[in-house]
Amino acid sequence: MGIGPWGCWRLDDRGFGVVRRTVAGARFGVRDWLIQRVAGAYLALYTLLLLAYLALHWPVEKTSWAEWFRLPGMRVATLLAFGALFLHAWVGMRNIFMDYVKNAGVRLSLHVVVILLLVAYFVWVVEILWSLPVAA
Amino acid sequence: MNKPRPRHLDLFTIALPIGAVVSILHRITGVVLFLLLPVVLYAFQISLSTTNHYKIESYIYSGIFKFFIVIWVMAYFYHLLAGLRLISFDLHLGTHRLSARRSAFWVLVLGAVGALMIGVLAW
Repeated sequence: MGIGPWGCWRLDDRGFGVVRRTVAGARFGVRDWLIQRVAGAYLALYTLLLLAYLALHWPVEKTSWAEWFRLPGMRVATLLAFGALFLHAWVGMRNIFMDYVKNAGVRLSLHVVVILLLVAYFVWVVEILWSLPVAA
Repeated sequence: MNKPRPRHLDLFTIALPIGAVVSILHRITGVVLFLLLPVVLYAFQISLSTTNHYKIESYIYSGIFKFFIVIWVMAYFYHLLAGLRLISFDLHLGTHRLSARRSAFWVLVLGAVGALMIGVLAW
């Protein structure tokens, strides 16, 4: 019987080999890998956009900065960027916990804490972006 | 009769290949970026606020707060570079051992130069 970070092999009542998976076990899927890459790529593009703005408007004064973020396209793009950031961060932190935290209970708790934090941050970003007065 | 070959994999004492250094720094900067998120979000909020937070702004743009923002930006820049290297591997570019070593070297150099420039810009 082998034991992996995701569970252990054993035979069930009918003699079939099954894996007993821990609920906070490893999920090495293509989906999470793809999420991290796509989110990272979008963030890279958004970063370029930000840098371009800073380069063109340096030194940036506060009113023009706020003006720019008030543009509806910019608001959506920024919200998506933060969404991408939090998804990317989630996959990254999950990988770290899977690699270094052996105890399933501790790992599950850490996952929950990180998820809650990231969701809270996302709500905060929505509040930041949508409490601005609407652009003309 | 055949003893298993000794293996020495204590990561803290062996000489890490350059790719391993890039990789662990990538992971460490990732954690730093995550942990300092509230600081960055707060600065973002203040930067967009329409009311005059003069006292808060003078606090933010100086001292320990600014220090953390700058650290975050430096970590972001390095993490981005190392991430681009990883994406190029996903696209099967530069996966040959020597190319990978060269790209690892450049990630470290550009990361350090970038951090220096960011530090100079900030102060």
